[in-house]
Amino acid sequence: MAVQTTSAPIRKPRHLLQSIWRGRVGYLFLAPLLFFYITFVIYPSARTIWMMFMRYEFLRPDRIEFVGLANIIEWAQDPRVWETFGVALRFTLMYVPGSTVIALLVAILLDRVRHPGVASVFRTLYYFPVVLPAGMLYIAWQWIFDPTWGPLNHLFINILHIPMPWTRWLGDPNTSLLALVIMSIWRLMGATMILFLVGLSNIPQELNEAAHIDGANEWQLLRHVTLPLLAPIFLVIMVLRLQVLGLIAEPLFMTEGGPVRSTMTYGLQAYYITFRDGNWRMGYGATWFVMLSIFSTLVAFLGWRWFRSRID
Amino acid sequence: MSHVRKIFVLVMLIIICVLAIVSCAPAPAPEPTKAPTAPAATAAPVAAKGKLRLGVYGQYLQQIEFKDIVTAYNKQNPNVQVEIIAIPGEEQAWNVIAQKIQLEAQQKKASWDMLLGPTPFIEPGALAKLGLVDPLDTLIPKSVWDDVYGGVLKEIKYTGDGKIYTFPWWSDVFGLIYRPSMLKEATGSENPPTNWDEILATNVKIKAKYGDKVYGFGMDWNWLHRSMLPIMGTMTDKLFTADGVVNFDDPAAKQTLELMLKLYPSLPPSSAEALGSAKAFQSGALATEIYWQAQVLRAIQAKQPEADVKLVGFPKGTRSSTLFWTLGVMIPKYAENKEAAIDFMLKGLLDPLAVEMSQPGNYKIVPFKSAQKKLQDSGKQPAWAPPLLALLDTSEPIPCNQYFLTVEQPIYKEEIEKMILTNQSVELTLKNMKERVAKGVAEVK
Repeated sequence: MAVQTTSAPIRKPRHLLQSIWRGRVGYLFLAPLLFFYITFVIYPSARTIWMMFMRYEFLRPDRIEFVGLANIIEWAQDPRVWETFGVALRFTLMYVPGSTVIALLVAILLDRVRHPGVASVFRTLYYFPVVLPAGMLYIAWQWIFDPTWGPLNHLFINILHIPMPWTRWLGDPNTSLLALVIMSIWRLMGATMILFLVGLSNIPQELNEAAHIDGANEWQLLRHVTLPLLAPIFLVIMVLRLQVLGLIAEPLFMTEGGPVRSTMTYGLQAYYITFRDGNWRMGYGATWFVMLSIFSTLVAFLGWRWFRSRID
Repeated sequence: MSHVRKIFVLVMLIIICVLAIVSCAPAPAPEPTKAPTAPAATAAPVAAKGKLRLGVYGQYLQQIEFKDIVTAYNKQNPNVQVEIIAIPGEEQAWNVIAQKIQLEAQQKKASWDMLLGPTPFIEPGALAKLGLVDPLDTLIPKSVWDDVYGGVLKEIKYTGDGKIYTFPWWSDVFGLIYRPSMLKEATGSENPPTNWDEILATNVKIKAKYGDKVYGFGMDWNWLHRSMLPIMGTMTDKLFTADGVVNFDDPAAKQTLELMLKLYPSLPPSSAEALGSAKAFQSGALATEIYWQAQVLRAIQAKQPEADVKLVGFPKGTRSSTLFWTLGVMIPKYAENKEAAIDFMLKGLLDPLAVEMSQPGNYKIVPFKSAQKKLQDSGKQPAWAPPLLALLDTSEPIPCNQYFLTVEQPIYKEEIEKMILTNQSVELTLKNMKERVAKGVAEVK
């Protein structure tokens, strides 16, 4: 005997307004978030794009005028763009692989810890720097890097007796960027580690067991099972870490872009153009930031496409 | 794409387009600079009363008890209710404070009736240029201005229109701070070096005696007003051009840079940081340094023996000179109680209690001759003050304009770092400084 259902068939909405009306509760729930998003993201972004086409100098409000593409042309011809982008790129190329590899290693080791309490303690310890106030950390690391009293030099020179070719860290143009990288890796490694731990927890245990049974050693397990299955996590990390291209806070507070502009990142130069130098050229500074956003979006998109093809 | 998602995307696109169109409307420009209306100098003073919102930079609230100053003031004028408002992050964020005042002025409002903390070569130039603060020339009696030291009076006048926008309160004056015990051990005498040649000679002896444990000399070499300018001032009386820009053409500029190259090997490694040499002094690893007088107090607070931290006048070159700056008080254009602000400046900040808390108590010089005389007569004048006061009338101040900090200082920092750290020649350094500063100032003007 055929089973008869009593529920009415679902009708697709034929009209746009009808569709909105049907989903009205959902939209109402979305409304506050949408309001904040529009107010604090969409509107400032739109305003920044508008400023890109204006001569807008904070200390010369009498000179606000539409200048078309002049800011973009000036940006394209400004030698500081490529110089500071190079600094940002060097920082990124040191920071992203460094923090990723270290975080991955720590996550793999933590994942192997059997006792949940012990694992929890170490997870907290490694994540702790992420939640500390950034300003406090910058001051602390300035002391750590201090050439005369800093514990870092004291450790290498006085305790380990390792001859150091450089000791001035933040005061040496050859090591200042590396010093910022070290600090940033220490500070944010915990966040990357958590992402890897999430990814590792999603790897079915049966796969590892099957690989062991087939005779795979730890390195083969890592290379052929763990890393491929962590590809989505790598993608997320890559996209998130692209923001270091616009690095401002660390060089601003620790080195002010020096010495000899060795830590003058793209973001910091844009910040100084906008809020410190001359008449505070906010229109031109907006151009710098918008161009960086376009570049970052493009890189993120291309990276996403490449990773997706590998994942698929 | 599902139907609902299509609708959502459509709605978002419409909103973005609307916002883009709306944001293309020109921003309401702030009112152009014009001379604010000031009460006539001969008008009878209005009795101060009501609420007074005193905005104070956070770091100064940590240095003295402003509540005590307010209490003493209220004994003279109980009709004014002073509200002390802390302004945090000011040294790193003075441009944020300027933007805040600007944005509030567009709505004809001000968060403070008086702003205590600006220094003439930092905020006032920008604020005066934008017309966001009131000139004080006619709001304060001439007798008060006549009481200010000559150099300070020149300092507080905005170069744009020659008017005074800052009521001076705390002056920092450069001198030579030293450790007599270290000099005695290294040179056989506690007497400090008095000129640059003696300093160079002392540095050699300090190095021979202490090696890398104690450095001979300290200064913030990559800060224009903490190194090059005060040194150059001891070699020329033409520190600035008529435009208020550093006089790079004067032979003293080249001599100063050459001297800085000779001094650099004696500096502690931390001297590249702001106040890095001061930290070295505070930890007992530095024999002499050129800083302003408050650094003596910082060294004592860092547990250096008070009897072994001394301050004398700035080293001489071909002339005696020094550099100084003065933080003070400004009145925002849309302050609600300007009468009370003026009253508090004259009766509160210059009250004997406030002067004692400032100078003997906090190592900040109150640049009024009558205040100094009262301190002298009462026996409360600290010993370090008179050599510094002697130069306050004759030394050249940093001009109050809007490009010292936004043009000259950043360019100086980059070029001096190239000279010191990458062996760029003195001549090229001077040439670059001059050309880049000229270009930057022209853009600002």
